[in-house]
Amino acid sequence: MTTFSTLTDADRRVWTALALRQWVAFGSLHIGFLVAWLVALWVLQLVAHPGWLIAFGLLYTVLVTPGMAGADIMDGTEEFSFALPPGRRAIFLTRMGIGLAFLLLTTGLGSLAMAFDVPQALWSLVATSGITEPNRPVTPSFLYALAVLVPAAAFAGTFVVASLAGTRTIVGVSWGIAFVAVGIGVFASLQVESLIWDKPIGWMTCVMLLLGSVLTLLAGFLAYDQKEALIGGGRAGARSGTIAVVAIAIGITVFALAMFVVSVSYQSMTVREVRDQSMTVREVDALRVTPLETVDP
Amino acid sequence: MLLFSINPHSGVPVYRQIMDQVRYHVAAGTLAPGQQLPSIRELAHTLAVNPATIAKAYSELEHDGVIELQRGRGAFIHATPPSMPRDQRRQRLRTLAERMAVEARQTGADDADIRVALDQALTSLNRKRPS
Amino acid sequence: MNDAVIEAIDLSKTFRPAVVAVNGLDLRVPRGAVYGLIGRNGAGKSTTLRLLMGLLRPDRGTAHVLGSDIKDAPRETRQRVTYVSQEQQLPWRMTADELMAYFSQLYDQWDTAFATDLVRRFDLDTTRPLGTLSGGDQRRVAVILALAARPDVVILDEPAAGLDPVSRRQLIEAMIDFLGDGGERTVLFSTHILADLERVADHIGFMDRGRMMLSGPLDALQGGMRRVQVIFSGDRVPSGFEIPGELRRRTDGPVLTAIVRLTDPDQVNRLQAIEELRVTEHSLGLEDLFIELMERDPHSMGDLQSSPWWQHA
Repeated sequence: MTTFSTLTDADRRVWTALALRQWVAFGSLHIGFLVAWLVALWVLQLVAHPGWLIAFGLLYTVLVTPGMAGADIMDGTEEFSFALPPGRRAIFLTRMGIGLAFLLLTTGLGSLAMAFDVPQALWSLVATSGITEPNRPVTPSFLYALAVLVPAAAFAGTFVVASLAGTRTIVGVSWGIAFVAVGIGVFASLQVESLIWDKPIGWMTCVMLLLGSVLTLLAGFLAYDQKEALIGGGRAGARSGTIAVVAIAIGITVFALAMFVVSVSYQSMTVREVRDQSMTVREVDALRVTPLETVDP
Repeated sequence: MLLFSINPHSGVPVYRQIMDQVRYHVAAGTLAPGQQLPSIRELAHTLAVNPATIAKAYSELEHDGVIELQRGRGAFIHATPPSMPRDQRRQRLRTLAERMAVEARQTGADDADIRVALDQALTSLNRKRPS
Repeated sequence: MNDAVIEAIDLSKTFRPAVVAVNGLDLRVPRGAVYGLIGRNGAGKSTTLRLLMGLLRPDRGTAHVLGSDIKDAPRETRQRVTYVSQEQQLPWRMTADELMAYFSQLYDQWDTAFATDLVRRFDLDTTRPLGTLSGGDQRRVAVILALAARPDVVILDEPAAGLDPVSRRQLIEAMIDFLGDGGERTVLFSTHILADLERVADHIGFMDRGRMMLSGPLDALQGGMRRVQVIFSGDRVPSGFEIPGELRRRTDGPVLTAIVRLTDPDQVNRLQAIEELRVTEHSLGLEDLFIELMERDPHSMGDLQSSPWWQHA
């Protein structure tokens, strides 16, 4: 593979065509996500808590990554794609590049917006809503780093699994996995916020996630380069749409169950701890899931 | 150009079929000295055969002096027909004659019939040649 | 002299659990050749072509195109090779026009005029998504893409399979026009329909059970083999009578029909000179030849390969 320093005009043309092709193929998915993101962040202000940034980032992996990474497998066009001049490496890198760029753009900008409370500021120009209290403008913290890194890690995992899949089922499964990751990520981020907010473990988590993402993508890159093309391209068997629907249904079920379980245990824990007065106001406040009446000590 | 017809399945190499047909037409006068043959590409397209096959046929014909290939202009029937050296001609005639004699005898014909058939073939050939 | 644009040496591939698809295959395609790879279904032709294109990994041996393993070759080399397979799927949401525009960016030598001409000749609708076209039309689009990229090497896996005779002829004509532009282009195609081979192929390779049984220039093969019929005057073929160079024989009363390998121009003539015999010889069509050869025990084909004509160029 030519190194970047020796790119010729022809190489540039090819890379552009490749990137454009990947974008055209998955553009609608990306736009859909972007629209949902912008609406949630700026309009509905649903994303009032950094933890939700993580959730939305993970939503990206659900919507876009398996479809993009597993496109050749779902369509049965690996034999065709791998025979084209750019080859496996270029395909992997282009898709990865688009995915990461998009992800970092949305989560990164979202984190910054949250940190400096931009949506609130904008809305205050129109009306002062009493829905949420303004976030404390926070200095870059672990949570904001996590808002970028957790979705990135999930992206890396899902992307590699879907790329290396040998059957359509596995691609579909990676959708389901992504959904489960969303569920876990949402509640983990809310549950452990207090833990990771201040403690050194937060740094470790960030470093581990970063390292994990990089290593996963590198391993995936090398493995994809050696991948044997999936032969038998006929779209026999379950159609990609069916697999996706089934996988998403499973994922949603697991997700809902997880939500239910955690919220029930969470509720009981919160009530118990407040009653025991073992949690400080700050800690309760920091959890910020339900606006609880603070109990004066 | 419909002068050529080839049968790829006869077992006779296509280039040989083309060579034989060119020779036949030259002998019969249908292809006159100096006349241009179709280009390799055209003939390959018309006959639906590999251009390399046409190229080989033309190359062999040029080697035998039947045609000449002029760079940039095409393939032309040679102005002067190739003539073999006398000994070679005699040897070739003898081989052809022996072969014909044996095969004709196998049909059960007698010498007179065979000679008549040969005369008829020559007459028919001469009739086709304008000169 | 190593002028091979495609070369496989001791190529082997086994699919799990225990399907030996290719077993020590040697293949050599010289530059400018039109090489027909023939064999029964399941002989390993498709797998061989996929190994050559780097779509599959060989268990043993090498498969080189244009001098190297095409999978790891730089883009400039890869864009000199195109591939059409029987089972491949084209991106079903794209239209042929979009795909051709994409190819024009990927291949330095893309010939738009040639592509347009072929589309017209094949009478294809290039504005519809490829997924809505019939299998035959999809294959034709794939062939147009492969040829209009003007590569140095085209590899086609059963290009004519499933096509009606008119489409097959169109395909052959397209291949011939592709070859006729003066560049020394090489074509490797696999087929189990012999009839088309004789029009375009000048080299053939006969595969059976993953091995190369017989290969070499087509003229040498056809020129060297003839069917000879000898009719005896008695009522049976005398025992002990053998035609020099005979490979296979069939006797029916006084008639002996044999496939004979010619080593000497006068071989048959000498027979014909024997008064009591009626001897005729016929050229052997490729189909007949391979039917005859395929009925042989493959392991005894070695003597055919040691013949002087099977010089690998």
